[in-house]
Amino acid sequence: MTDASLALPVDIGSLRRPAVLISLTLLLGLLMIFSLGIGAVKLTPGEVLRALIDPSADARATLVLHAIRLPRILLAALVGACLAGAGAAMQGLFRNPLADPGLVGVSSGAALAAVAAIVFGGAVPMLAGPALVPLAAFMGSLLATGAVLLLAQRFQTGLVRASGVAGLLLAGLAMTTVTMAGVGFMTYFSDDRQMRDITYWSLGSVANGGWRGLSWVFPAALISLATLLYHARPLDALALGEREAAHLGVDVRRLRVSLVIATALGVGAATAFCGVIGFLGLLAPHLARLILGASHRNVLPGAMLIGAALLVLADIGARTLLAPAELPVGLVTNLIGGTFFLWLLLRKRGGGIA
Amino acid sequence: MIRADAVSLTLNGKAILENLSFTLSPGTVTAVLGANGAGKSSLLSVLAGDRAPTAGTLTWFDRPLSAWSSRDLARHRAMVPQATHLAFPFTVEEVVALGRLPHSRPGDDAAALASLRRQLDLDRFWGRAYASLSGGEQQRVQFARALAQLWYPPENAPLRVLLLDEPTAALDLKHQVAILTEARTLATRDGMIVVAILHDLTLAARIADNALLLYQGRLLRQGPIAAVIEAAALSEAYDTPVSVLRHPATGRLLVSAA
Repeated sequence: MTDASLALPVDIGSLRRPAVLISLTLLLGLLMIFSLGIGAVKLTPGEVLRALIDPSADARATLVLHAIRLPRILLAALVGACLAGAGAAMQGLFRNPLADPGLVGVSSGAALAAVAAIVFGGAVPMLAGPALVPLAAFMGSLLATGAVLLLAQRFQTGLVRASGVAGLLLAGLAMTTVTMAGVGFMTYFSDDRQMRDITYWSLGSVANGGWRGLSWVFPAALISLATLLYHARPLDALALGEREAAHLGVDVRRLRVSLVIATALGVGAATAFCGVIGFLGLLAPHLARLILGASHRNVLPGAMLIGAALLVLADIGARTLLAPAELPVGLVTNLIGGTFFLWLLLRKRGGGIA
Repeated sequence: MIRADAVSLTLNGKAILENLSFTLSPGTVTAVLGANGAGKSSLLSVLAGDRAPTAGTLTWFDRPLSAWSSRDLARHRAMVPQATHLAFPFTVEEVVALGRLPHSRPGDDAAALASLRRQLDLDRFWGRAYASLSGGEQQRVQFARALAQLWYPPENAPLRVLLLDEPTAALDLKHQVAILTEARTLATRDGMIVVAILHDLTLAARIADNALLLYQGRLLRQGPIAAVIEAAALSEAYDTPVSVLRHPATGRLLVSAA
C-alpha cells in the first residue's frame, strides 16, 4: 500500500502547516471572486467585491451575481469540499491511499435512485417536479450506504467471516455491482429523452442547484465536514491498524459507522444536486498529503480546501472552454484530474523516494 | 497486580486457552513462551482486553478487567506489535505523538515527547518519514509510541502494563538487546508490569524474572525464569529435544535445540 501512496515526505515544519492552510483558504477565496466575474456579463474582481459588499451600488452586477453565479460557485466549493473530505476519510478508514467514497456504495445508490426517478418519475404526476431527481438520489445514497453498513455487520458471522473494514469493502462491492445492474437495466429500457437526461446527470454539473440546491446541500455538508474533522485523531490512530487503534482507546466500530454515515451525507447531498463528479475524492487528498504530510488533522481540512478550489477551477473551465456552450463539470474534473494524476505518477518515478 | 483465575478462551468451539491461573506483579518482566499455536498471542489478547475470557476471571489491580472502559485501559496499558506498517507518510514525531491519544493534558504531551525523544535516542529520526526507517528503527519508534501512551509525570504515575508481542522478531541482535534492556529498565525503575512473547529462549532467560510456558493452550510450567528454562519442560513444550547450558564466563543460561 505504501507503494501506491504518492505523498512524499516534504519537509515542512509543523509551524508552517497552519500557514499552508491559511494560504489555501485565501487561494479559494481569490478563485471564487475571479470565477464570479466570468460569464456573458464580465466583471472585474473589484466590481465583484463592490457588488457583494453593497448590493445597491450596481443593480446589473448584483442581479447577475445573486440570480446565477453566487449560488453556483458556492455550491461548487461546498460540493468540492464534501467530495474531497469524504475521499480523505475513506482513504484513512480503508488504510489505502487509493480508496474512494464510491467504495461504500454512496455513488451507485444515488445513481440507481436518480435513474429510477428519471425513467419512472414522469409516470407518477404527483411526484414530478424539479426536486424529484435530487431527492431520490439523496435518499438512494443514504439507503445504499445504510444497507452496506448492515451487510458488513452480518458478514462478521457469515460464511466468509470478513470482519471490520474488509467486510465493509466486500459489502460495498456487492452493493455497487447490484445497483449498477439496476442502472443498466433501466437505461436499456429508457426512451431517448430519458437517456439524454441520464447521461447529463451522470456527467455531473453544478449549474442546476441554485439557491434551493445550496440551501439543501449546506446543512448536510456542514454536518458531514464537521463530523469528518472531529474524527481526525482517531483516523490517525487507525493508520497503525485496527487493533492498535483500539488499544489507544478508539472505538473502531463506532468510528467506522460515523465516518461512513458522514460520507453518505456529504457525498449523497453533493451527488444529488450535481450528479457524479469524479476524481476529486482521490486527487484532492493526495495533493493535501503532498504539501501537508500524513496527519489527518492537516489532511482533512487541506483536502476540503483543495477540493473546493479544484471544483471552482473546473467549473471555470466548464464555463469558458467552449463558451458560450457549457461543458459538464464532471468531464472537466475527469480530464484535468486524470491528466494531473498521471503527471504526478510520472514525476515520482523521476526523482521519488519510494 | 494482574491476577488470572482459571481463565479459559474458546473460539468457535475450539479451546484456545484452558484453565490458566497466574499473577503478574509490578516491577517484573514475564516471558510468555511456547511453540507456534500454543496460545501465546491469544493470552496476550486476553491480557490486553481485546477478548474477554469465556470462563474464569481476570483482575486488573483489584478490578475485573471487564469493568475497565477502553479509554481507561488505554491510559494504563500499551502494546508493541510485531511490526507496524503505515499506509501514509507519517513522521516519527507524529507516530510517537499518537500514543498520547487517550490522554488529554497538552502540557504532559509535550513533556512526554521531549523525554522519550531523549530516552530512546530518537533525535536522528525525529522529523523523518516513518516509512523511510529500517525495521529496527521502526520498532524503536513503535516502542516509543507505546511508552508515550504510558507516560506520566514521575510524581503521579499509576500502575502500568506494557505488553510486547514478539517485539524483537524482525530485529538484529543489537536492537533485540536494546529493546529488551529498555523493557527491563521500565519494570525495575518505573515499576511497570512487562509481559513479552519471546521466541529466543536465551534472550528470555537473560531479561525476564518469570515465565509462563504454554503448551496446547495450557500452562505447562510457570514460575521464576530459571525454573522454567529447563531442558525437560522445554523439550516437551517445543516437541523437540532442547538443551540448557550455562555460559562458562557469564553464568547466563544458554538454550539450544539439542
